Amino acid sequence: MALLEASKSWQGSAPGSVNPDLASERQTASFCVERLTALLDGGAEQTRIRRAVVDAIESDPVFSRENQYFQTQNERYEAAVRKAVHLQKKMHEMGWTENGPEYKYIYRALSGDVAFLLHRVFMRSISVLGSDKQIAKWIPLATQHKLIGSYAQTELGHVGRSATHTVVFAQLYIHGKCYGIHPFIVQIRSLQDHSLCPGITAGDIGPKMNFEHIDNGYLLLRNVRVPRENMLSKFCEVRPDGTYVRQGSQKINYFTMTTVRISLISDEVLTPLMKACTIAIRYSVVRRQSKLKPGEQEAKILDYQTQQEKLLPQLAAAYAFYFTNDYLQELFNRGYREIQRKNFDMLPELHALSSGFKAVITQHCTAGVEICLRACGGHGYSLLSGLPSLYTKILASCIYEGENTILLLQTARFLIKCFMAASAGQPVPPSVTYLAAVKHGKCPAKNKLDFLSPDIYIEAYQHVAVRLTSNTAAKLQDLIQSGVKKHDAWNQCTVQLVQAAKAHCHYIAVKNFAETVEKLETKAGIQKIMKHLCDLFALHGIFSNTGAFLHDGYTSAAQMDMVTASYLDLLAVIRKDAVPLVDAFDFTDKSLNSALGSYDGHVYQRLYEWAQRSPTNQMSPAYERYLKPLLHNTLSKL
Amino acid sequence: MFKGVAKSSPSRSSPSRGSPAKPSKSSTNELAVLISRMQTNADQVEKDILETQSRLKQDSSNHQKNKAFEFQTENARNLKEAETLLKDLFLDVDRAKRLRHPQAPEIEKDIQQLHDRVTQLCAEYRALYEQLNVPEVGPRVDWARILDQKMKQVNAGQYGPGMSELEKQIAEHNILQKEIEALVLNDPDFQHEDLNFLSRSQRYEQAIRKSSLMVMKLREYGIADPEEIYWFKRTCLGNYPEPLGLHFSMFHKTIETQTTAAQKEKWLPLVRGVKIIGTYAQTEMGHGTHLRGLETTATYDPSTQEFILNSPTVTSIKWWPGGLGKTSNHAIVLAQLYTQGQCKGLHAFIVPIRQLGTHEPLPGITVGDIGPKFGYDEMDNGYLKMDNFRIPRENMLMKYAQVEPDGTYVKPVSDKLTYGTMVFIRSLIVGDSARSLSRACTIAIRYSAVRHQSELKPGEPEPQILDYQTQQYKLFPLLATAYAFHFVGAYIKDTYHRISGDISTGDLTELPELHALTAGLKAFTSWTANAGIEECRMACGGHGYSRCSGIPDIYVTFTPSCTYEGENTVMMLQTARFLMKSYTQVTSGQQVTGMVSYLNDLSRQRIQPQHVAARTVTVRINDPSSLVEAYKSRAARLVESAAKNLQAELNHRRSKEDAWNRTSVDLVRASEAHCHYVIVKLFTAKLAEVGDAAVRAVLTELCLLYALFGISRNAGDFLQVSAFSRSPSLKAASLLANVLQMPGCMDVIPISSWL
Repeated sequence: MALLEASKSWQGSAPGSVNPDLASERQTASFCVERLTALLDGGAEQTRIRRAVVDAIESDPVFSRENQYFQTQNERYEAAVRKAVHLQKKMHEMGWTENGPEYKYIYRALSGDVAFLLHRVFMRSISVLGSDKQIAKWIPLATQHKLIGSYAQTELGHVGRSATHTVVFAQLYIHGKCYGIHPFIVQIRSLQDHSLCPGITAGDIGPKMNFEHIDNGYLLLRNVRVPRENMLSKFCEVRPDGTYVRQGSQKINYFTMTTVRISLISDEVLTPLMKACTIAIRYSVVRRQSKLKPGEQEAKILDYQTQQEKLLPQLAAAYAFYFTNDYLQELFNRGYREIQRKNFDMLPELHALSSGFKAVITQHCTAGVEICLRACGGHGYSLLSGLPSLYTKILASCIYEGENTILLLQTARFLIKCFMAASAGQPVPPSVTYLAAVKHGKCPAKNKLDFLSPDIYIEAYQHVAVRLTSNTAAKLQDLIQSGVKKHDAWNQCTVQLVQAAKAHCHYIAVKNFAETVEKLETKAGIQKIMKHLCDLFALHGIFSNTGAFLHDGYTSAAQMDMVTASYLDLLAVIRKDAVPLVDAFDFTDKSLNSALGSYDGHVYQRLYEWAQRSPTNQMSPAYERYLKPLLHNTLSKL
Repeated sequence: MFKGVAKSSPSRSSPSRGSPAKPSKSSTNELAVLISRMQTNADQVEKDILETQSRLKQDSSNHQKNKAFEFQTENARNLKEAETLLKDLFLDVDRAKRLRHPQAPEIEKDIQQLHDRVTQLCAEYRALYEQLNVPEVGPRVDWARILDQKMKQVNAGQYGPGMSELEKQIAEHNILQKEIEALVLNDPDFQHEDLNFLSRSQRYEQAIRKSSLMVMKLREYGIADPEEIYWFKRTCLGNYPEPLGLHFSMFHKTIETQTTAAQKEKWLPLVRGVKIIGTYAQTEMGHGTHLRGLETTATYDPSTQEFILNSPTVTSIKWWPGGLGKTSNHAIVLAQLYTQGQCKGLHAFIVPIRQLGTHEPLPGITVGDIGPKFGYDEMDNGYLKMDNFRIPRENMLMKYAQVEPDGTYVKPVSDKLTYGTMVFIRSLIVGDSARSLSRACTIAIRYSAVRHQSELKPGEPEPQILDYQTQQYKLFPLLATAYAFHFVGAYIKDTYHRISGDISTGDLTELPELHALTAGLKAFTSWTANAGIEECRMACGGHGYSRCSGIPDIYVTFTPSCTYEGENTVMMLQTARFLMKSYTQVTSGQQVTGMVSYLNDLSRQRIQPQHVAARTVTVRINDPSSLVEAYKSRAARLVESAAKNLQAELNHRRSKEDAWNRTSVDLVRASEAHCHYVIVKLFTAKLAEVGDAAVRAVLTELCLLYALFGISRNAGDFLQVSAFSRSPSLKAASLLANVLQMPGCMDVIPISSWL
């Protein structure tokens, strides 16, 4: 219950004046928050660099996002362009380069609210798909923003209003013969006056749930001619006489796609969930509602078991997937080194993992952000909570860079193939060797504490993944043997294939979390709290998916009750460290841009003062125009 | 039966007798069809009238003998049917006139007489049933008032040509939604412009424009019944919120139900005539669901006979009320009443907040818009801070509790009545869940039939994405869910109307169950629909993300219903409280009734000492009623297990509240299982009522799909009750696949009729 007077002192922002309800949460942390932050950053030095970048950007008023929630689509687009242009200047000023250690933190510091992201995709696709000559010609132009690029496979970001050039994917025809999809650089707007080139029809596709800062567009081409040299020709070339020549391996191309999927996980998917957890958990210790004990003060809503059950599994998932991301990054770096040595053996596995995890993580995190939003009651629906924008943005990630269902089916295809190979005694990639080791045991847990043992739950996850894959493989074979055509049989199994792919990814995520915890330093309480989170992540997955574990009797009904008991116990344990665990994510107030999630917890004052600045509080013509005549009963004149 | 043409056959009414203008052959055919249709309809109306007459007589004698009514439902159905048929008859007779049927004027007279008799029966019906059943909170049409008003208009010459015209109009009012929809859809004033391109402020202005127009039209059409108003608004505003919404619902209703006669006389004309615009200010910035925690104070000052209103803290600022930000000039404010130095708890006060004429906030009032939200751009949700703001004593709503001029507080007799409004609004949300989800399903399913993608068979054209199993698995269960919720919504509304009759006559026995059930179903359906709408959007790929797909707006408009009118988790726990109470009753040897009667079986099993889980229930997975049993066992098990866990916590000597909190995840699961059971049960029960065989067949498929999908999604729960002997989820999943492949499963379903 903060007095209005207190809000005045908050305006003066006396440093250190933290809402006591939030301050008390920080005094009882079981671990050192700063060390956990360093762990997440990959070392204290990295934390220092990141903070310096964030500080430089947030102290620059051009990058302010304070009015973001009040802006129209046009205003947000303009602000994003302004920021993108200013960023070039800023980078120069600060001495940041694209290869420097600061670069990867810039996007996070801007919270992604900047235009021309696809300009980078444009550049990357030229670097990957272009010949050396093409790279030498186009990359300098793009780097200096002599042109603004886009990438027109499906989502035409920036074609709407900004782009002058785009990479268009089109079916290549030579002398009436089709050679399939190829990339072409097409100029769509004049470099002088930005007018559309002849034969080009382009525009903005209109309002979306978010991404107002990007002018997603449409593009129609009619007899637009581009010089032969504009076909990106690292892998295929068309000779002047029309001869089609293939060169090198396209496999590297797949690798690029795969890399994009992995690279979006950290900034586009994990960051929003981590921010949403920060906001919802901090708010849940400031918000008080109803009484847990008669006569006492109203309780913090985080003290309610149901609230813990909503938020803490999301927090655990954020950590779990953070470590999954590390695992994938490492795997990809290794893959990249191999590919440079012309060894493409790892590609199928990398492709399967990146597809599956892109789908599983985006889906899980999107659902998680929505849970956080709804866990904040009415105030969650205010844009000033920050949660609606996080949600509308993250949910696009389930669609772009590969629709999730399609991706899971790609992973499933890999699983089925490997399962067949493993059954036939052939070697399979490391992430799927477990498919060969089918065990027909039962879960050995005897009491609820047994379920806090990673061996027990990892094995349960493994069992489910193997069962789903092998059952579906059997069904597929049965169908084919009974005369169903292969593609029909596949379609009839897709629902179960999707389940198998998810189970595979879930298993790897749990296993990797447990292995990560194993390797952590035991000092400063970090390993202990991470172990709790790992247990929670694993048991939450079982608790919310009991059918899969009970299905063939691997886990018994009685064991399932033990899982539930352990799971609920864990909630109460992690509850105590919930605020320190989100503090460790180290988001500044400016990057959260939320009235509910600020570090000092002065939720209500912030909300009240911020709302008063809303442009909707300017006098509306609606009163004079409609309400006054209505109240005076003269509306018929309308 | 027409007297004028009672024995007429098509041949007799044919133009062979030399009518003034010879109709063409085709119009002769048309006339023949028309006349025969009218004959059939008129016969049916006659039959309905006769049946109703005799049944009304019987029920009337039942009433005199203090026996229960037997035929209310049938009579209502017959009268409704008669009215619908009469409307057709009036339309047909107009057509007959246009086709110059020689006896059209006589036929019209006959229809008019039938109409008079039906009107008479309607009056008798209302006199018999509704004098008892009219609940204060959900009144039916106030006929007397409408008639008065219309008579005045007629006398003043502003309205219709004469009495018969007037009666026709009144009859039309009785024909609910369709009629209203037709009114609105044909009215150019209500054509939707492209809201997608409007800014937040523009959307507010458009909403105000529409609301204002709507008020005028409501006046014009004489629509006064809350349910009719609700439908009218739905149609006018196209499912978008409106700034005047709370004026018509909460503000109006509260003044109608919680004021003294003198207060009614003063305020009701102002409210009904929209001379003032009001809202309902309950929620505060720091307080929502837990009403007792509200901090706003109203302190009585006997020296001036005024209440002094204050918002003592930031957290006490009223926050969220719709229409408060910019539209309203009055608000009903809930505040802690202090008189003679004592706090008397929450009471409601009518507080003027803006100057009439200038619309400026009054001195001592700080009021404004709370800023941008997730959707609801049309609505000026507002904040209100009061600083020693004085209102006269008479502005406290005093039907129940009173403060006398000297400050003496008079306690209310009972406060249970306020339950009714809550139940009513929550029941509307259940209906809303069905409607919003069916809108999203319609968009997603139609789009999936148009969108082609990838190859199912090599070399063939890209198939419709609706042919992919994964796409069907996403959408068809949702479609089934939309139907299930539709029937649940109808059920609650009916039950509400039935029980609310008892409330006003003082029989509250069924109220706890209804209250518990609506709380849980509100939560269950809004959660499910919320997730379902998102699923539909994602099933539309990238285009679903565009505002122009329509789904984002459905989502943002619907999703707050998980929070408002009772936060869903809190709602689930209310249902759980009722379940625990029922369980305790059963274990102490009492029988329970209603939807929880399955708990009685638990005690029977205890007599034959056999654990629930050990029971084997044979489930036939293609039989809905057998699946209802499976849901029942699951609900029973989860209720029992939650009750046992709760008891175990209590045995650890935890306080009641603490034990409850430590069991609340289990309790929510129990409630969910209970609600799920109720829904499957109601859906299954509905099947028997469907007359048309083809419709029944397709609804049965949908019912099965709904039930099986629930089982495969919650396979663990069902496995734990051993309701299935072996691998149920696999079986369920394969049957699911079979159901999905039913040819033409989709074609028959008239989704569009729900839009």
